[in-house]
Amino acid sequence: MTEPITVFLLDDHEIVRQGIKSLLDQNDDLTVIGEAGLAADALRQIPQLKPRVAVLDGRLPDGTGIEVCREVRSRHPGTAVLILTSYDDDEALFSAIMAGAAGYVLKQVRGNEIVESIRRVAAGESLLDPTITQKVLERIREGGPAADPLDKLTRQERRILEHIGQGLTNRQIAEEMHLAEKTIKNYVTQMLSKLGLQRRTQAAVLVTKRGGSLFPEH
Amino acid sequence: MPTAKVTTQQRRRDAWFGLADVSRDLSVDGLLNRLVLEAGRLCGARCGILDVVDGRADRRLGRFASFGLPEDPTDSTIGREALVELVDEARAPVGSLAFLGVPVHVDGRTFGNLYLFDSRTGTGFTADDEDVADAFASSSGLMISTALLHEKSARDRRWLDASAEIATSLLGPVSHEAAWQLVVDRARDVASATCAILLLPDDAQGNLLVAAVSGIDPDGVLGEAVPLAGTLVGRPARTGHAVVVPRTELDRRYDPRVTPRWPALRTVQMLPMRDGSGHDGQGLGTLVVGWAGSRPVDSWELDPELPERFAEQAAQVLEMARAQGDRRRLAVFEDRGRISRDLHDVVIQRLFAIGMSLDQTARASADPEMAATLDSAIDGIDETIADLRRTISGLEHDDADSPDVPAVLERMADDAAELLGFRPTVTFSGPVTTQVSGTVREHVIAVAGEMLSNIVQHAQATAVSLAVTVADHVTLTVVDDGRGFDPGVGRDGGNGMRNMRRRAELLGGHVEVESVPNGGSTITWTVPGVAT
Repeated sequence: MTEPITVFLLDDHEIVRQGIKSLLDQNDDLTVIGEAGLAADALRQIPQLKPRVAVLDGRLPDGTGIEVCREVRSRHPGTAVLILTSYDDDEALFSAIMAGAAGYVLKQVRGNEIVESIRRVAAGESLLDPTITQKVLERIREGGPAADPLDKLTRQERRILEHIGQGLTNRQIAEEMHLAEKTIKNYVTQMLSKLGLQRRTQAAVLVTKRGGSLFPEH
Repeated sequence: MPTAKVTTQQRRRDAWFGLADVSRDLSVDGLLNRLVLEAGRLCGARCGILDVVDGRADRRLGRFASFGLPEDPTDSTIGREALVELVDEARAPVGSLAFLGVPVHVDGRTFGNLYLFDSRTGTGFTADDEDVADAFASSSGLMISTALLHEKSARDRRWLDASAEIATSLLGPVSHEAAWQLVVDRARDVASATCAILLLPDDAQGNLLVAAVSGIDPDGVLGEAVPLAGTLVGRPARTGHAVVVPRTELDRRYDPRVTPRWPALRTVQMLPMRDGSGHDGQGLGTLVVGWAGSRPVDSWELDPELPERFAEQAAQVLEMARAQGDRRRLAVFEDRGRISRDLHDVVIQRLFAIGMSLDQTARASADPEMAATLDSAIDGIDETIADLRRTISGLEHDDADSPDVPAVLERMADDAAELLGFRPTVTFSGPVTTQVSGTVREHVIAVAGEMLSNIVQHAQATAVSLAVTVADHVTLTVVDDGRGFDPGVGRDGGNGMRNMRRRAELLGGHVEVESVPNGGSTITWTVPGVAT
């Protein structure tokens, strides 16, 4: 039998980690080699443990899951990442793409495809369809009817977004663009806050624009 | 009959008493009418005219007071024609005057002329009559001056009060509709008009739309469109200048057919009105103040200067209302965003954790009964998570303009609810917004519409659910508990079913139908996930 797939779990709820661990342990081809409740611990442990797959909570108290994921991917590109998310909509997809993850798994007890998903990404497969990834990126690029021109992505940010869409890590993007990795990190943080703001205010901006019409209720 | 023995002295004294009597009411039009009547009485005239020529007092409209004319002239133009005729026809014996004409001065300027015709004695007017008329006219000047001042200040105060009230309304929260209503109500009130109608531009169509009315039934009028170009109503909005029509039936520019639902108006004043959208030159509407009825409107009332200032003030209120509305909506969206994040990040996270721990316990448990209980609890938790997601999705997709599939289908469910008597449940799973786009989006919307309309028409259902799931495939599932139908035929003789199949096949997908008579139906429409 081949080596089991090594898995690292990051979730701030211990119960969740235990639950997933016991679920994975029922499968001989999977083994959980480490876990953490905080992003900082995960970032310390993953480079040492070198797991094949990391399952990361998309939302963490000490930093956005997206940034942690990018950091993990940058420091240890050999680890494929799955984002564990509460969102069963476009938000989940967006987070996974921005995180450079290989896919996402929904937070639900039954019908969870986590085992199958781990096997697939461990085999080097991406659960994200490149066509869909392109669509999401297109939406981000065009879909920014940002209230403030300052909220729009700069050219540099758009280039970085392009690279993110290609699945490049921060380090790879830094090399590609001849910039420091730290700079890329900053760009990503800034972009996430812009895009987050953009998605949140998008509807409101639409409404504000529509305010010009006379009978908004019809 | 004339009192021949009355001395000039007495007559002058009479004139003073007459004036004292006349001056009780300070409305200018009323005063002028009483003055000319009193002058006629003093001089024994059959008819009299006070023709106002002072452009300052008169502004755009002539005032005209008269008595004893065969037809009461309601307009100064007609009145002047009558005057010319009377002067032409006036005849009197030699040595007497055929008619009297004396100037009336107000504040050192000629205000107008007082004419008296047809002495009752038939002998014409005497120099004594002229003397009395002259004295009467010069004494009237002061009263007219006072009345003018009084009237102008009273009207000014009314408009300024209204402007101030409008400005004060800014202190509290104002909705658009409330602000519009306040504007028309005050305008109508202050102008003692029959109605006031506010028309604001409709961005796209080149029309003005009736936004608020006062004094008439809003039914059928509210929301009515009036073309901006080529109409008199549109002119203030086009040019930024007020239009005053003292007599609608005499002014060819005013065409009542443009606004058939408005009451017949005798006099209208139309003021340019910014809609408060903030950009200059655009967003100009019209505030119409209209008077019906037979009574002529005091010409002072038609001076547009102060109403225009009022409209300016009102525009600021509208702008403020708009800004407040935007802020409120923004706050609602931010609130929803925050609630949605909290539900996802905190509530679902915790439910998931609890579910995981129950799952662990269930699997470790040796007691099958216990395990079964836990299993059903876990199912409950998963359902709760799904319910929460549905609720959140409802919050996020409550956007009347969004073309995204979730928002469109939610609106469709709203519409169907009116016909069904209950609202179909709508659920979404997966990245629906992103992946159901382009051609797939069009088909999903069309098919969902077809399914719902079939159910509304034929199914007699008491529960309907509609779900869009995006994974490897895009699946639209509609379930109802209605009469069911023969899947081979379809509900409406097969037309709708054929359309659905055709749409699925175009995209390389298929349709599955499960239905038994009186057993409800499930239609599953599936197409490949990524549009090529």
